[in-house]
Amino acid sequence: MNIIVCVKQVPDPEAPTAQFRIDEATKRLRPSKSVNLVANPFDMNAVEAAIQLKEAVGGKITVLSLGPESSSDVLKQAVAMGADEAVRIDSQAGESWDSFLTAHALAAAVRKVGQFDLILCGRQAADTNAGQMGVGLATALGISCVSFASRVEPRNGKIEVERIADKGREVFEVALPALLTVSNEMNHPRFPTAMKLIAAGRQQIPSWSLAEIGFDAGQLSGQWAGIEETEHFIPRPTTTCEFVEGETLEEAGEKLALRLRAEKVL
Amino acid sequence: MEVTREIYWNIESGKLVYLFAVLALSVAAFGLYSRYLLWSRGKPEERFDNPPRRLASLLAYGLAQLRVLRHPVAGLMHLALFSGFLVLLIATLLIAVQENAGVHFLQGDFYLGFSLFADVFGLLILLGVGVALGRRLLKPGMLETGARDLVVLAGIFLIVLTGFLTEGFRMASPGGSLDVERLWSPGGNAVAAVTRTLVSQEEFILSLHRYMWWIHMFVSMAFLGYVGWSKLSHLLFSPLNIYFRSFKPKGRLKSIPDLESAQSFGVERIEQFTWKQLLDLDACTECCRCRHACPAFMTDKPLSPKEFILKLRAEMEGGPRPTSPGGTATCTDSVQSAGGPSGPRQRPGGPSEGQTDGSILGRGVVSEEEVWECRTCFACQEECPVFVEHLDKLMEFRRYLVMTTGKMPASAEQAMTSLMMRNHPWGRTEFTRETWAEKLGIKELSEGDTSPLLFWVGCTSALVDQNVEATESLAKILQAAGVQFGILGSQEICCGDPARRMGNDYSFVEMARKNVELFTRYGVEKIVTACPHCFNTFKNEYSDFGANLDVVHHSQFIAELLRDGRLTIDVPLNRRICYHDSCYLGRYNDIYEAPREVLAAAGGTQPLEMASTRSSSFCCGGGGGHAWMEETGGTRIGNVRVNEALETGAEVLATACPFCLQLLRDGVKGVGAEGRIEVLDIAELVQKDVRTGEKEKEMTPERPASIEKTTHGEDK
Repeated sequence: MNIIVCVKQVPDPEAPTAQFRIDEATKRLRPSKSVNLVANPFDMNAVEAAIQLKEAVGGKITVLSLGPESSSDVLKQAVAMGADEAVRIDSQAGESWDSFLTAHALAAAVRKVGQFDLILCGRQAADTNAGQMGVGLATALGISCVSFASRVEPRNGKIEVERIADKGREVFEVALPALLTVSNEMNHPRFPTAMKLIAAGRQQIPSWSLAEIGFDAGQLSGQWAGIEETEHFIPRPTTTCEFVEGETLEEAGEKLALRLRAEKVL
Repeated sequence: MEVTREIYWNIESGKLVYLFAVLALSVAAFGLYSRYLLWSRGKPEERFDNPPRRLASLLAYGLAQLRVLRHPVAGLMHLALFSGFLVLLIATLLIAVQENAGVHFLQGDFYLGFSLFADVFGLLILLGVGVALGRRLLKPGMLETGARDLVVLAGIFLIVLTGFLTEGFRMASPGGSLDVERLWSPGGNAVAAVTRTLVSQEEFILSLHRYMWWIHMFVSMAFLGYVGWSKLSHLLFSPLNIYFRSFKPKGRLKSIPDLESAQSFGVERIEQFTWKQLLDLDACTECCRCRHACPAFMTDKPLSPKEFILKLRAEMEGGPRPTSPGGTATCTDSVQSAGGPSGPRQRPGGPSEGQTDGSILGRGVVSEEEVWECRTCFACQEECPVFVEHLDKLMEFRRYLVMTTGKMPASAEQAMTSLMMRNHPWGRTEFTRETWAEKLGIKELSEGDTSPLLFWVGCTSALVDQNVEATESLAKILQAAGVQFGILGSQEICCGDPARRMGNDYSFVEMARKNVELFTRYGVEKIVTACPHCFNTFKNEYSDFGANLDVVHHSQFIAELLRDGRLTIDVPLNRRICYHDSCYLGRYNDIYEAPREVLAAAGGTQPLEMASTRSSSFCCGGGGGHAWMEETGGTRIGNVRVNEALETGAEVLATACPFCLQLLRDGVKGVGAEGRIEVLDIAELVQKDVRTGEKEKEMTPERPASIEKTTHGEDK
């Protein structure tokens, strides 16, 4: 099974909220210099899923990332985990990318990679949490798509996919080629062994320019009505603290439970 | 007639003793040699350097038994047995010399002194045996007593007893001794007196003497042969192990020589240890001191440093070998059966079914659980009377797990992943590395700056809310004393200690290289830090990466400021303080005085001491990566330590390590002692506003940025 995994480098989602600002002009998130760039966590679930499928039925894993030079770190991480090849599609800092353009650029890159059976993406990227790109890529390539996949198993040339639905889970049999957006319930990304980390660290990650993959953003204008972002803001969480008291621990616990029920939490 | 020892008095064919001696020595030598063959399977290791220093240490810890004497009762008991046997051995050899060299020196006053000396030490041995037996029978939890331990004690007892009987029977016999000799042989004389009252026929006493002489010989020779096949081999292996002990800094873990090209890491098979690491396994005398010092063992976790060593010994002796192909068994088969009475021990479980991994861990000889339970607190090694090195071996297994197989507990993996992603192990944080500095208006170093003195903050001191206050206090102290220093702020990354102690030397090396680069960029010559783990790593491990730094812990730095009068404390804190020795500061780096000096100044009086203190300090539970790992099973280590602190009656438990601070605060909550005792860093105690005893110190920057009262002179 030939699998392509799309990954993205994002500002550390675990960094303190105070370290992020919104750039009003571009409506983009601007992390402070203290925020590290890391692999989007869901994408690492996708890489792990690909490796487990490869371990089960064999094949080849190619990892793609659209991003600046620093994105190579994420690709190396995927290689250290067990991906066979990695290519970075070069984008420059300051370029304005949205889910639509990214999906089409990656579609072009996928066509350049050539033959594939399955594309895996994280269910959303931790910077915008839009969750659009994977679905958009499937649309651009004209292949079937299952989002929020929580389990995947090979089944006689097809795959069986479990998906997280609003209530409960759905199970599909999916013919290939197809695209899955992978949720964190799927697996626990492996910790790379030192040997693979060393080998991946030495590797030069090749990059393709947008011209090389035949992508021209200009050609796409007009094809899509698009979405205009009117506001991008960091929510200000408000906390009110209320102490539930009781003479004994049991009493306090009971009162707490009743209080939570009143709030419809329980 | 001058008093002397008539050799073979009343004995025929006494010379046969030499034949038996040769036989016994051969049996012993064969046993010892078979152990030597086991160690020689290990990899080479340089432990032959600096013979004078090695000899000096052998004299101190072998002959003078300084480590054994750390425990007075057991220590004196052992010293009695050891010195007694040494004296009797020398006495016996002197008799043999007199016999064979034809020099008669065992006569006159010298002989009388000799006789008294031998008798007194013989009695000491009997006393020692009594104490040893008493310890084993009265305190069964302290030691594990098996038949073989009793056999050894019985052997020792019999040798000395039969010796005294022989001497006594000779003295009771007509013509066996002069009166003056009896006066100088209290043991023999007592036996003689009793014999005379019980037995009147002289002939019978003579034959008693003859029989007892032979019995004494046989018991002694049997014992000699047994040395090679029992724990008595420690007579040879312990001094050997002490001689070859490590002299590297205690806090330096072995680097992996060819990290970049290695195909596997850590230890899978016993031969991957060095010969010295294997000698360690045989040197263990099973005295159990390590496990009684071990915070994991003492709080009912599945790790005992002693069992760890003994399991590896059984493995070395040829425990179950992998039957799967791989060909590792062939080279070791020839020396498998060298067991003997101390031979292969029962191993619970044995290799688990269906596992194809033939490694020591894979077969469950040593469990992953126990490998992860270690806090790297060094208490086991500090206690070990024969310098067994547990930690290096344990760490090889962590390296194997993490670097070769990528397996580790989930919480450890989280920390490790965080280290690799964001250069600190703390995952989600509310602070950045410069949050505290911005509050105090301290700018981080930037391109072109030079700062000979670097205040290294460390991940935990900067990012964990419990520690931020201590960090601010230290910065204020430095400012108040007019110390010129720089910080790295957002450029600072982990020192690498958590990665290394959790077995990920690859990440450690990466971080160390990056840090050394940073130090060079800013012309750093000296580092002051409040974290003993960073301190230890910079001081003892960074030299491998070309760093040549003067590294100072904040306890030392503040103590020096106080000594120089650059910092003074006018109104000492009026609270009872006890001090908790951090493992990495105390045991690892022998810094015990500086923090106490600081506390004596801050508190106005010497700090209180807990039951386990200084080199016997009990870990907070946070070392070796455990600041990030779940503590499951048994009692919480921090709780135990806090209870010890409470017993001193202290109101403040002072620490000099961010992990200790955090874990002991957890411990205070764990034992429900909030309000009774407060855990504070020594810097906080020195800093003025803490001394005024204000309880609620919200995270508001209203505190003065300088410590007016504590500063004097200097360029303000």
